[in-house]
Amino acid sequence: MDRWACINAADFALQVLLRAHPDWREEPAALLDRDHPQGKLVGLNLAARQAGLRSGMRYGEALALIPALRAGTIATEEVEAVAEAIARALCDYAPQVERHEEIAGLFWLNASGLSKLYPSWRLWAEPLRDRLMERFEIRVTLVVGFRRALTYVIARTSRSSGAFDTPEAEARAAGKAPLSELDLSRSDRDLLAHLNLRTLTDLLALPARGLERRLSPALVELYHQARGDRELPIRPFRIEEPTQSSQHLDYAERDTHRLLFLIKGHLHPLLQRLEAANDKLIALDLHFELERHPAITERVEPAQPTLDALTLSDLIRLQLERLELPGGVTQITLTAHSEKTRSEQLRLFLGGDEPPARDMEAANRALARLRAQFGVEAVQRVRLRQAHLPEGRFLLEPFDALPLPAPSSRSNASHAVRRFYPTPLRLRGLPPARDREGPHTICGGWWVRELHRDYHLIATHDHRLIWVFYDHRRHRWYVHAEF
Amino acid sequence: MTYVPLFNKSNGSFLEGASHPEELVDQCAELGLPALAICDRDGVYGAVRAFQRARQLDLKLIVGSQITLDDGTTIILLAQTRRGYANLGALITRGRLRCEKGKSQVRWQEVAEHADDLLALWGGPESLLWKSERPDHVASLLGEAFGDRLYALITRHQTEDEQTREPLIFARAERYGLSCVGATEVLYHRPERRPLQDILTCIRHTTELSKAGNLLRPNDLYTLTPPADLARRFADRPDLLERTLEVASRCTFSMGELRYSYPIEALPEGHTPDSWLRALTLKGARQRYDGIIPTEVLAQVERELGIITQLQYAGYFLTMKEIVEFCRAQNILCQGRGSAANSAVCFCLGITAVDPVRMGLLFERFISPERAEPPDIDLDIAHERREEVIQHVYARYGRQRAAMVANVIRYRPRSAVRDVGKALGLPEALVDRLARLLGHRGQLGAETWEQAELDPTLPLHRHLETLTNAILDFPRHLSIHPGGFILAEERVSDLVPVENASMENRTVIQWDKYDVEALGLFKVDLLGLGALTMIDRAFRLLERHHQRYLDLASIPTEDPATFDMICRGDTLGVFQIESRAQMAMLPRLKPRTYYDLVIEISLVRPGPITGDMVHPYLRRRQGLEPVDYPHESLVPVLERTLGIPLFQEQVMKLAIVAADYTPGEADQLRRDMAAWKQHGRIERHRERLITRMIEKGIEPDFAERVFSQIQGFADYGFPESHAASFALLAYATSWLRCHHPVVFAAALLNSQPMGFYSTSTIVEDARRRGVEVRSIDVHLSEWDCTLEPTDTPPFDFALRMGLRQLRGFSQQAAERLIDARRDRHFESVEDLMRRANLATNDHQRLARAGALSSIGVTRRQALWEITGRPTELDALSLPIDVRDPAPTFQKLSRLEAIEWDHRTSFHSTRGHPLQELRPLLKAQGLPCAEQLNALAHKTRVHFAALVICRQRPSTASGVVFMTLEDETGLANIVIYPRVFERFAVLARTTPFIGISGTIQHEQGVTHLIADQLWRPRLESGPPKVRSRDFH
Repeated sequence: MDRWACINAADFALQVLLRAHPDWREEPAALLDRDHPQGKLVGLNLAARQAGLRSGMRYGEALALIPALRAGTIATEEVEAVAEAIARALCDYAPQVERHEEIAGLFWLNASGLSKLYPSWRLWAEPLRDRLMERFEIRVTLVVGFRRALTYVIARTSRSSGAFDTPEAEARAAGKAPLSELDLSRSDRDLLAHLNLRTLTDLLALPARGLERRLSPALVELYHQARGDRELPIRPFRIEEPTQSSQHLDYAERDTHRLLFLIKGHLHPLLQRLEAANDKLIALDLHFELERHPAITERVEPAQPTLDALTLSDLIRLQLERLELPGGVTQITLTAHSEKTRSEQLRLFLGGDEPPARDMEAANRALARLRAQFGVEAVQRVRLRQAHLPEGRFLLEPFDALPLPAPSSRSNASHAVRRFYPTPLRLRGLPPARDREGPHTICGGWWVRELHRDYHLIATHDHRLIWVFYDHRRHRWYVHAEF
Repeated sequence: MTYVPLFNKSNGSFLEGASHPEELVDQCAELGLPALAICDRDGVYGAVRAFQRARQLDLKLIVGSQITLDDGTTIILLAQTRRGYANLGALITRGRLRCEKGKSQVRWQEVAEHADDLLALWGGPESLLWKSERPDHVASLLGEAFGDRLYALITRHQTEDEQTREPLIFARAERYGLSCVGATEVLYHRPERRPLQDILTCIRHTTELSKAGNLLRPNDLYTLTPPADLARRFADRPDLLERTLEVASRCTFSMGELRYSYPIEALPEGHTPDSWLRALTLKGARQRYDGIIPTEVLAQVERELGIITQLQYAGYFLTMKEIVEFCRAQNILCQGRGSAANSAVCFCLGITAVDPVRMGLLFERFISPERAEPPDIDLDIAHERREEVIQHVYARYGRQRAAMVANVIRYRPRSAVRDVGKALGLPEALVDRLARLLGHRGQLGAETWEQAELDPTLPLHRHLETLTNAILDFPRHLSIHPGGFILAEERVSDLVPVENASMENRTVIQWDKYDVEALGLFKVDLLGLGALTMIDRAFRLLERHHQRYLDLASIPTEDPATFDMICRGDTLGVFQIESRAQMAMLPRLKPRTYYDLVIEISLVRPGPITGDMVHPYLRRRQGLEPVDYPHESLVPVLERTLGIPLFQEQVMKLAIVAADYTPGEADQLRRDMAAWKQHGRIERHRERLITRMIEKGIEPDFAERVFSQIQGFADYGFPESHAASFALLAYATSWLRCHHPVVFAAALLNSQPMGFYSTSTIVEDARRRGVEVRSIDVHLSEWDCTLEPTDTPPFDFALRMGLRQLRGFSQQAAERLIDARRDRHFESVEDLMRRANLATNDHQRLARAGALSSIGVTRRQALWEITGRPTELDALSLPIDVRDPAPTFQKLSRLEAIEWDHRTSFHSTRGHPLQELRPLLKAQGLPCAEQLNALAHKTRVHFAALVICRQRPSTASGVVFMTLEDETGLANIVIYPRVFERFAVLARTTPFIGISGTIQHEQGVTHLIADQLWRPRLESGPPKVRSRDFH
């Protein structure tokens, strides 16, 4: 007979939140559904519950009651990441691990056969529970039983862990589970409460016919699963291993040419593995363990997803050429980041359009080479912003791919090109002016760093057109741009 | 060199101007400037306040507005004359009325049509003159309409754009033949207000500072500039500034020219308004006094009519009379209140119901010939029907001649910290935390930061504090006054622009009641009063079921049984004397006459409480201390209140008699009382009052006490006339409660929400008084609660709860249900669902409330049947008719049934929740509310019941008064601040609460002084009962 262990981390998202704020554990603390006074409390620790707070309260309302309440939100991705990590860790304990599709923090382990290894379930379960607490700071309830649906019901509603020796004992325990603590919709919960159906046994006492008309599909499903008519579908958890290749060196290698040669040796098999999985490489991490120095990691990003070893070798070479290794390399690890092959490859089969007048791919390849040679920060673009301060009117930001230019309809307008000094140059004194315009006063930023500048446009005797300002805070003149 | 700032926006330009109008005027005077133009955006919101201050400082005020065009540009218009001002008002009104609330757009053609006696300044970054495309067509239209009154405006704020554009503006001015005039756009009176202006900009655009970018002004030069500084800025063109003086000299209009003409009613031939008013008054007087007008009444009427004629107020009285007549004709219960009750003319016209001569009320409180300010007649109208009266006024006078007065919503500490915090980009949760700690008044300061456990020294927190306190009292948006109307002979817009309110079918003027008062305009107040609705409904029930036809005047007066009930404090649901404090005062005051009720209503008010007048009065009334007077001359003034001044009128009379004030001065004293907190005006009376009283031989101690009471009145001091009007309604509702409890309860329930108590408490009270209360039933309940004959004594009728009590059940649904059952009863749940065909939710509501029990199903069975929804099989053309098996559900216990009742209709007719739990409570040694009264003074006791009301009056120094209810009655709990803080969560949230404390009996009233609060431990608790909390 199959044995299943269900692991439930009650208030999982709140537990993840409290990992980031260990000082909150002893205080009333709550998880909010959004960072807003009208945000609802969706998770509460024991101190908060004891202080009289209830789930569903508005944050503002709760704060009025408990001014010392600590509350915050947590990103779904963060919760997901912890759940994923736990699932990985659980793989050490059982051959088959499952994660609940919607409820993060709920897992099943196929424990069949483990009884042969462990004389008592306690010897298997207790270290597992302790490990999760120790490693992830997540408290869980663990129930070992015979049917996944029933272990779910028990683990979700019980605060204590344990194992059932017989299916009957398991069914009896599940029958006592309060329905109000299961993950049911509000309408289901209300209806069940109104009809005085408190436990699973009460639910199962209803005739099967007519249920679909009155209960939600999820509750009807639970009804059938609990009766044993149906079983929870199995969705095994698989660990996605990164595409990696590694090599220990017997000696500390300092020569980048030889390193490139070694890397190339790993690159081809790595690309073959990606190709076999219908993937393309979007980035390659080069991790170097160094002798008597901290390890370093470099990332190579081709202009577009590729399996072309030649392009990659070229980019790796450029990157290695600018790399100054403080010590000899003792281990190389290549980690490939990939994505599924996309539709543009289909162009080859479907026949491509007319080649564009501008070869954007070539441009992007060139930019990728620049990045490889001079670093990621070397290639940036300007984004215009609404601001009064000259230096605030644009922003330099890195970008992935060069888009096709979209000429504006007013491209004919002529603009004087102003070359800004990233840091204004201090002037000892104003140069003699042939002509002068101004002042244009800009002052503001009082909420961060107050400034007050009077700008002047000055045509100097040596035929320079300079843009200077007087800084009222520092009582000094600066050149900000030249034309 | 001097100049006149011509382009100034006060904070009447909502969320744009960062200075009060008065601040702009003050600064102008300080800079030695001769005049100032207020040009709020699409309105004249700040004009009255600026005018008042300018008049004080002898500074010329020019009134204008920055008008928004339908192409998004603006132009500034200044009123040259009274006619020009009327044109400006008409133009703004046109723009406002065609747009949604808060917006305005006019067309260039309309600007041209309204150009007479207006002067136009065209320029600035928002103007069409500034745009790249040449505005030839508009320039020619304006040139034709304005002629030499159209100027090109050159603004200089040292911005790059302005400098670039200036040559273009000069060139266009030359092309169109316009004179140029210089100005700065003034948004604040001093540069220090610039941060606040940035914040206002962010609030207006719902953004934060770090993201606002160019929405913010580039520098702090949008301020009133000293003449020398501005002269430097215009050094190349001094003529531009000189021309500002020319512009100012061409504008001669003053707000003081606004003369109000009251609309004249259509009068019978041969009558003037005065003669017609006299005729109506004397006719009414004869009716009031059974044909023989007493001499003193006639003398008073003649005196009042003389003053009304002198001040030309007859039209106003005729209007009020007309509105009252309309209400009578439509059977809408109404009653005048407030200072109008001081007027014998109002009484004779039927506007008020209190005889001021008999009551010895002071007419000068109503109208003072010296003050010559319009009187204030407030008309209370049954609140459910007030809209009919409002629409009648609109219909009678037309939208052009009638508009409602605005209510300017201003920043208070909580709204200020929220909006400023958001603009600063602070986390909303943090801002909310601070906001909750702030009261409705006061400022953000060290104490709040400490309570919030936040560091006030952080730069952003410092900004938050400074700007929150700076924005206080700034206008936030315009709302509607509860019932104030302004009526005009010609067009309201001649006086002030009119705009749309957010409420449908309502238009409002751009001024609030203070502005209206300041300019001496007449205001008609039509206020909604729930008590009148309740009394009206009660009269109708009496007619229908008891064939007794009553109105407010024919209710038997001075009824001993009614006063016996009042003396017991048995006044739940009675108008004005139902609050916990009033109930506690009644057994001490023991009212036996109508005038006692007037005193009762006035006594439990912050004014007498903070003036320390309550206990002396009670002691004198009970004969515990002798009644003496500080001076012989004050006997007539204070006689009726046993030597203690309780009313505003007494303070006025006292000032007249004891300090030789004229009646008009005394009324000014009253007005200053009301405004002393804002302006400190009361202080100027202090020395005069006290010195003169002492000179007359009044004890300094008494003189000081009178003065402190005057200050107390500033909060909520009650005028005697007001209390007299309210006392009539209090008596009427008491009489109904005493003699017709079933009618009283039905009328009160049907008028909810009103008063202090919830449906549940009203129902429990009725049951305790022997009323048979029947539950909601699909076959018998109407929308309203109704009376049904019963054989169960002591009353002939039982109270049937109406469908309106069902939570979430709409009147339309009720009408459908009543229609469906008209022919025959429902046979089954299925029959009900088929015939009534309500929404599933509504069917479920009826089932949960037990309203289907007369069909013969339990609530759970009914709910199971109703909950089914169609499945795919139901769509088959030949469905297999197999009924779903009906499961058996547990029957509801009595306690559960009560719980379901409360959950679905906030009350239960089946009993009080605690009735079922009494054995358990008794087993724990807990007494019921009734037993508390029998316990000895200072007995320590534990008690548990349901919280029905929490109050923390501002005069009680943080003491919380809680009213608890069980099946035997109410219990009064007093919780001192330290106890409240200790058990705050319990005290604020728990509906079923345990109290440990000490019994205190005081003059027939029992209190339980709490020292501990706890959660009662029972296997199953009572249902959650809604409390009404007033903090």
